[in-house]
Amino acid sequence: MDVTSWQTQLRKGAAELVVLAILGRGEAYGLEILAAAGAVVSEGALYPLLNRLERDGKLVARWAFDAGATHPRKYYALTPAGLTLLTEMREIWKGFRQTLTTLVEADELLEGEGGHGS
Amino acid sequence: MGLDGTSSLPPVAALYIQRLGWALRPLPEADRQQIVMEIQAHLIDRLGQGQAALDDALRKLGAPHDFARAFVREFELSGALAGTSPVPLVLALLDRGGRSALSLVSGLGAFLLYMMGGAFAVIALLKPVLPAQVGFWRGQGTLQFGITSSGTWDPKAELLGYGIIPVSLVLAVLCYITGTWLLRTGARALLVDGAPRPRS
Repeated sequence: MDVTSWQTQLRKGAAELVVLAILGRGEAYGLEILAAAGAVVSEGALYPLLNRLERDGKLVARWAFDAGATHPRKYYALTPAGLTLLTEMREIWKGFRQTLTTLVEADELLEGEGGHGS
Repeated sequence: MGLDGTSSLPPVAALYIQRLGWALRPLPEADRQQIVMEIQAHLIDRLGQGQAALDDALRKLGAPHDFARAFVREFELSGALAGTSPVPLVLALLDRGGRSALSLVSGLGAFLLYMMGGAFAVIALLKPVLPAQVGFWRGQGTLQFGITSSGTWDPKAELLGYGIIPVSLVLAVLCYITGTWLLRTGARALLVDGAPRPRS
């Protein structure tokens, strides 16, 4: 696996948590979510993901006309089930991040020490 | 809620929306409409940021069929495909049959199995109405199951009697289950037809 496909897999794995976290700050429509999460979630992946989360009952959606807009936008918000999922995923992420950071940094330190020793 | 936004989109984006709607046919109508409306609104917003932004959005969304496949895949993930009416699925599979042999076989197979299931159900329903003409007969080297014209078969050669009703009902259910399984297999083939699915 090259580094690009690994990075793609990382983003894919993080996308759901990132979208839930953004919606945890308040309701938003697709383009707003994309503006906040664009570094992690692509346009082509965001909408199918929103669609699934809504159907799974993690998000609730409503159509609204914003002032001055000529077309309605679909706004998403977390449901209680979505909030629970976000809380759980956030806790798992914190533990995972800590474990991974420790492991990766430990490896880097060992490599550095090895490099100095030779 | 309706959205007549395609007129505010350039032809290339309007065509994209049209093709997306077409490619989303494996999904229920209500879901398809919602998705098309949302992507339409997204493209209008992106156009508001400039033509380059719209071009960028169309590129990042990917080809309509690939983008639609992502929705169908997510739909499957949530298990919702099980609740889809078989009719649009059969039609979608037969439509794609020209490009995918598996889609053609599963679409046609499911169609035939549903027809057979319907025929078995009719046999079960007609037995009480036409008891002498509905049955399972054994002749000289031949077997006949179903409905026949009056007087063709000797009543003594009939094997099942009213037992044909539960047998037909079981066969109808089996045809339905097998047809639905074939349909779902074909729907999954629709997903992999084209660009390869990312492997986890």
